[in-house]
Amino acid sequence: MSQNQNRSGDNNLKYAVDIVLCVDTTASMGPTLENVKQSAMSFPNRLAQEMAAKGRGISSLRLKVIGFRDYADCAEDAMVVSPFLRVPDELDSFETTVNALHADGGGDEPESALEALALAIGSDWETGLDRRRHVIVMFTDASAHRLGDPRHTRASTYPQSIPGSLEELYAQWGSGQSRSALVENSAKRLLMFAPESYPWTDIADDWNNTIYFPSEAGEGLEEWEMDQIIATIANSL
Amino acid sequence: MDVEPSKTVQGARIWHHTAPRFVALSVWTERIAGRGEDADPLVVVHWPTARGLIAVFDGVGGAGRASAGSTPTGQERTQAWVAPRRLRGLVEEWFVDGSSVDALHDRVVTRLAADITVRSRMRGRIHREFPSTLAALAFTMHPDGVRWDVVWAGDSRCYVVEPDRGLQQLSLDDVDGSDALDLLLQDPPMTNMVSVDREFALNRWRGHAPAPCVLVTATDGFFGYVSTPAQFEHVLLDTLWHARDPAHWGELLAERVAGYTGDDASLAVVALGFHDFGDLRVSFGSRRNLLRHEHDEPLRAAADRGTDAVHTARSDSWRKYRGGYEQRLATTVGEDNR
Repeated sequence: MSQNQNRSGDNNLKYAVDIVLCVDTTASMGPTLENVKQSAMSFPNRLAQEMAAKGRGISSLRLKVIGFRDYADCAEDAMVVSPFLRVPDELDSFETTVNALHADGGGDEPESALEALALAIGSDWETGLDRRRHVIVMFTDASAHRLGDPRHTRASTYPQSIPGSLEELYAQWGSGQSRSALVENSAKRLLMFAPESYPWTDIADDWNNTIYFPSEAGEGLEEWEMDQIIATIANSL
Repeated sequence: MDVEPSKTVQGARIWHHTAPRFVALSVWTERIAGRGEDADPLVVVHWPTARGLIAVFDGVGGAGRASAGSTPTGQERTQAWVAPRRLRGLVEEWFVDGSSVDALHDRVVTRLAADITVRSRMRGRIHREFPSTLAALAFTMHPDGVRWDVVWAGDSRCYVVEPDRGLQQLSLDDVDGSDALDLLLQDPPMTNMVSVDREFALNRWRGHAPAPCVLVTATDGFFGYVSTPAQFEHVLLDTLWHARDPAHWGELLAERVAGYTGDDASLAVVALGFHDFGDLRVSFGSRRNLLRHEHDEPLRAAADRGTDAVHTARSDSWRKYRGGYEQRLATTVGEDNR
């Protein structure tokens, strides 16, 4: 018998979990970022414990980190994107990636969070295993620049794959059985820890499979404890 | 009904009742002691009118983790724990007063979260206040058979099982997609469920079957963690085959589901028109053997040959099983006149 098969032949299906952490690394995130980083380090173990407590096994866990600032402020360091890192095999690389995040720059208050979200949606998600979960977690204390603004898109480092509007990005997220989606409808989840400003409230209301933890703009994310965040992710799977 | 804590499964509860040509059974299990989000299954019968109801209720933890408050002893309860239990009471009231499904909907909207102050700031399309599934099967017994109205919201299910036609799903899950094997492998989020902060639909579908037959309602802890849809029927009938009496059947079901599920699991069953429990058991003997040979044994054998073989065996099982399983599946909200 295989590991997943019990004596009755019933298959205890496990979850293949891909998680993309989109982290605002602009200067205003300074006090919060260290907390997010510390929590991110312990994230794999705590998620596994939470899942085990719920009786849900994980067959595969991959983590990816996207650190973002603002293409309008400084295009050179506007986006840092890691590949998916398989845990526990690549745990060291994951920790190195998280440790390298530091709060700096950003210029004006809207940031390039929608570009980060677009890169996350376009990730090379797991497609082969059963019960796939494709989770994007957005941490930011700011509103986002609108997509398609030439002041940003003409930056030399601006990714060509980014859609030109929020509507196009919504199409890539998809709804129901839509064919333009880059993420599987049954697998995707979007968790947002973000202020009640553009575009977060709109996304929470209009996009499916979303959970939104609103915060006061400019006041960080302290009101949401990381235990609660991880428990919410585990529950949303 | 006779209520018994399970003798072998920690925390599980089993109810059973037998009357002439009638066997009722329900099973309730939880993954984490004291935190099970399924309410106790509901089984009610009004003998003077030959009417009955079986129903299950599953609190949706992924949608309603926010607190609903604390018990007098200080134990915090989530909205996903409170909602199915309150819903159970409202559904029982609805059955007793015999009102319409629309009246049940109104009753749920006004009373599900009554007197509870909600403080959650969490939002989003997954999030719900006081979320619960409902799968209810109201039936009327006739000399030659049974007629039913199924009412549901979410992904808990209603079924009928006939000795010659096997398990047939009646309700249609509130998710994107309807292929039961795909749903098993993907476990997609629900698009509709009972809650107090969003509009929700109570879907309904009507049907009938000759006696003898078995009516079943179950939460996804029972049917959502097996290899194929046929395996759930195999679990039901294989445990029945090995049972000495209704209580023992419940015990075996609790043991079996505890061995494979990743969730709380509850189930309610009524068997109608069988002479006694022995007749019920023997009537499904051939069907149990067919499931064993055509579905269970090939899947077991495939498990030893690796993932590809399991995928092939799963697909083969579903191809052979699907036609019978879906023959009474609700295709739209309305009346099934077959």
